Amino acid sequence: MSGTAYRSLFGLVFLAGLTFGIFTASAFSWNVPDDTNVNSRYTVERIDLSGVPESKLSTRLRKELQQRVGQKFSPEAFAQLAGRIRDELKVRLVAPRLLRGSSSEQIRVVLEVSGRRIDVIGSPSRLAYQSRQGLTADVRAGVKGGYVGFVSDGDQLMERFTGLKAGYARSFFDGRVRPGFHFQSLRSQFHASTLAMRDEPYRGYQIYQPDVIFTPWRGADREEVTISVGLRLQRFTTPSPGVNREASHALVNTLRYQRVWGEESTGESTVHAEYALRAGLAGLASDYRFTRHEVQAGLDWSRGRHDVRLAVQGGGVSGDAPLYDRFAYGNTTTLRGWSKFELAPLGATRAVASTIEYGTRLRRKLMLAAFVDSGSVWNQNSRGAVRNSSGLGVRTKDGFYFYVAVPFRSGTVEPVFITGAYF
Amino acid sequence: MTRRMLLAHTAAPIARAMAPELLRVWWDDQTLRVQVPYLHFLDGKSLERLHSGAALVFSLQLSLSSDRFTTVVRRSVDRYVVSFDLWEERFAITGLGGAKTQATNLSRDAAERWVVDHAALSVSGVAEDKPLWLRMDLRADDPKESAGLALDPGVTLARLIEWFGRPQRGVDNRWALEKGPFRLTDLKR
Repeated sequence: MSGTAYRSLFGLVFLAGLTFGIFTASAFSWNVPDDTNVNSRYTVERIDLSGVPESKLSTRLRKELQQRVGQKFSPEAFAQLAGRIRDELKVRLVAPRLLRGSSSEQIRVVLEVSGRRIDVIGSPSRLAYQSRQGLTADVRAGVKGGYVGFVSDGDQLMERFTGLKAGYARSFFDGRVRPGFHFQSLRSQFHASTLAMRDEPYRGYQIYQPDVIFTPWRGADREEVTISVGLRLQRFTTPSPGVNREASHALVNTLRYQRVWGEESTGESTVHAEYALRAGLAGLASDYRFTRHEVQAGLDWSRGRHDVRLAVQGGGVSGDAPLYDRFAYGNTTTLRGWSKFELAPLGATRAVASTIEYGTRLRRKLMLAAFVDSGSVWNQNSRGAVRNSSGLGVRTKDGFYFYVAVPFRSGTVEPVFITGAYF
Repeated sequence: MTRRMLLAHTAAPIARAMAPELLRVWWDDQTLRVQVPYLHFLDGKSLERLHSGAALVFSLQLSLSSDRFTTVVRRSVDRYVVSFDLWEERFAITGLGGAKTQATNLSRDAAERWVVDHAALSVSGVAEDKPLWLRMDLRADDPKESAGLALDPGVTLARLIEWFGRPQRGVDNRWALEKGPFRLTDLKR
């Protein structure tokens, strides 16, 4: 696909997100018409919030609630207000409940707030250790939309990158539009197997990334679609400064969907899917021109003691992409037990991986888990071998995990230890 | 055959014969109508929601088959919004669709009867002497959970039938009753 085509695609996604966001935010209402609820003939005597203090609401929303006092009860208006409170407090559910007022013809409205909403965008801090890759730490602290963090990650990419990151994002329209700006300054350290095949491509880089996250659709419960559009301005520090290949600017777009339904006692399911597109375009004054597609999808199901996870992901890179944008499968999350340096020391331009994991509860939060991973990484114009691995371990609901993974290969059994925690 | 099995085989038809008729069917002027005297759907979670001032959508589907539901020869879907008056402690119902019907000041039993009594299925053209099977599906939905389908006045019958087949979220109430085989000529008119 050419650069022009990608610009068109970018524009299309942007406009679709914006239009759908505005449309769904204001006009898409399926509440019961007022005249079908017999209680709409009564006057609202007072409105109470249950589950959170009223001071948590914005002044504007508090004022709008107060304006409803003394008026006839409108189910439609209260359903819309409940939706706005849900968005503002980032909670799962706000359910209006009606009670009799102090005198006949009057009613009290109690808005019952419950549950926390799952954040499908936020990436938590994490620690991870893989016996072949070493330690990974990605720790961040944030206040009111701003954050700073330290990272030393030998897991995600073909290199270990170490440094600082910071950013700021602010929500508008009840969190449906969230512009942000992110900065990273990192040093790169390449593995010996990578350096055996090519010269050191770069020594580090800075990334400046403005982006906007739209939430065009939020379901009644725990369902959300987000579209993220941004521009990654990346500048490498090369071994020979100023010579060439310093800039890798790209459009970065992601479409995400997540839905959670049910409760754990009766069976809770989570479906999530993500499509990410990165495009290094000539028009961005980038020294690299490439496109990178990656798709991820998964299903988590848990009921009582049992927990099943299915996940599949894969993608392709075309054009001239820096090492940073090539696939590094064979880490703590994909093809566990295999080493990415063994599978593709320079990263891969094609990758696919899947996971099936079953867990059974040993104690209240502790689970015994077993998994089978399959997948392949390869480069354009070559064929990749299918790799399989399996493992056994424990994990907790708090985010801790410990696995012993064994890659399926003829002759030798080489267990790999993987442990870590999200927090 | 053991004594217990013999008893079971003998007792089952007797129990069936003595069991109350859950789905009563009658017809009038080429229209099939039903009664469900033992079904109380304004109960449990639905009733709790109604007592909290919520309005719920009840959808009732009647399906008529001549081959034990391998194929359906006639089908109808009716939708009603039910709410509960907090001060009067009586139910109110609004029918959705073409002619907007309404009823207020109903007791719980009367409200349940009203919903079922208003369901009708045309049987014009259906052979009167052939065996038939009738199925009644009733579901209660939170309007938001049904993605607006339950309330959409312009929704097609095909979409409603497809929606009946989907799993439910929110208010978890669904009932199905069947009757058959019967012949139209044998039914009370």
